[in-house]
Amino acid sequence: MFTIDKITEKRVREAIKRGEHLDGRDLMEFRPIYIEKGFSPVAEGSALVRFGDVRSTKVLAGVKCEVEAPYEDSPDEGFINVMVERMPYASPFKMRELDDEDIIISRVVDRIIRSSEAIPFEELVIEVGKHVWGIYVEMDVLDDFGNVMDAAGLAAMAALMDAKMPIVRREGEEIILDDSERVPLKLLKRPVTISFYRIDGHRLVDPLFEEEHVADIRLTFGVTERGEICGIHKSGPGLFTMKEFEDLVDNAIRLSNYLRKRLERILKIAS
Amino acid sequence: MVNERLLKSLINPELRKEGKRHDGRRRDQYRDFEVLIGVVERAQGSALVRLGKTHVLAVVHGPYEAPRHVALPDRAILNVVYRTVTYAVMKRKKPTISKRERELSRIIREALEGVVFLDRYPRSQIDVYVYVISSHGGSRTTGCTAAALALADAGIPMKDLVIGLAGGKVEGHVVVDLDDIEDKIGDADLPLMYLPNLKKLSMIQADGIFTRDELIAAVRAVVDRIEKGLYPTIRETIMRKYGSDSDVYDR
Repeated sequence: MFTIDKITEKRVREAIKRGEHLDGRDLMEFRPIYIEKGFSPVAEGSALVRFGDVRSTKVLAGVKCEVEAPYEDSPDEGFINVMVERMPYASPFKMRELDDEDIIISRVVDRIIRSSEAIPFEELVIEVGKHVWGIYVEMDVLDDFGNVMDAAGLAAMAALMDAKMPIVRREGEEIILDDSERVPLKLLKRPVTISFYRIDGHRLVDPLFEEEHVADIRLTFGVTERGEICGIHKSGPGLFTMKEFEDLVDNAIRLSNYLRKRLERILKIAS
Repeated sequence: MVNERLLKSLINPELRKEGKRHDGRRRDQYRDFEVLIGVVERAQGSALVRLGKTHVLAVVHGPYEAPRHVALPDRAILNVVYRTVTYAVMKRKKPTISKRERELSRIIREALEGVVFLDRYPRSQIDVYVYVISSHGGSRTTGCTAAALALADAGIPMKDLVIGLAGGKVEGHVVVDLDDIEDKIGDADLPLMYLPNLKKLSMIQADGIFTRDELIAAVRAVVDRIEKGLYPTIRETIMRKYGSDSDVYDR
């Protein structure tokens, strides 16, 4: 992790002490969230998620479905692959290549979707041991103004909910994909990703970029619509008590409903 | 996986009789065109250009001090990186840099180098990232338009805009703006990058066989559509963001 300059850091700490974000929001309040689906019409599914009106964090997610050979240890299951990459200059610190943070975000979002059992992998088999569906969720961060983690989690789900798969037909040994007819990708659950940050003992959600880099802890939860926790990840050097943790779990479940509502409402309007 | 004959058979014969193309366009008609400027807020300049289902995002960073071993004493280095995101194409693209991406990075750089006043920024570097986020034919020309617009948005002085559009030959007829399907069933493809005020070409490529007359006709048709179609749209978008129409642009 790198550091923010001292003056900005002071401003952040003062605002947090007053109980608000740098932009005046309550600590536990999100920026306005906008989801636009079908942003990349050639992809099977896609969505652009924006957090905020100006200086907004923007994540573009695209889904590709490919017929692939299954992994050796699971010949009767399809698979998913999630990848996040911040475009160069999406962040003020040059990132020409994939850095650790990109990998962490990819891994966390991947784990949350996978372990929520949202995708019925056993139904994504075309022929056991030979052909299965590989679902690639790839995300490009256009602007990092803080909280890419939650934006990426939301973008991945929005793109998956937008995804329509081609139909598979068999002609003898050959596999033919029929693009003229498409079926929506079956999703059993709708997990959302929600992260809590801590600055000087105060906890907050959806930090701005400057706040994110002052925080000493980021604790990310995946939450399904049934209120199940389907993934946890902690970043940053800070320590926390059991009580703090329990409190965050309750808050995660409460706030996840808000995020899921955004996800469902916007997709409904667009379609 | 693409079967040329199958694609051809899908074209509605009624459309063909009326002299129209597979998607109902006239032969000199380009796809829906839309320009958004300043979409990436972190960047000094950015533009998203949509031409039908082809969407390209360009981002500019710089000018900034170039690393000493590459810096030039009399002008800036223009660094163009063209990438196709993995989900932008029909068959998922491998994330590694392909030869095609290298070629197009260079093509776009060369189309812009003669237009940007690089000598205003000695020992500097300007980065232009061109990301194809949805690819359906004409991504290099659309990419060039986006790159030039992003440079303009970054306030980097240029002689003129550079606007790209492809022409070509499909089923024996000269057409403007081939989409992905026409690219596959077509006989020839002719991407152009054009300076609408100076009335000069900054890049041309061709793939396929043209007779002399066809070639001239195709170039003229494309230039005509840039001058009368794309350029006014782009100009209007820039004006809407950056000020009144009576300004220097009229000269």
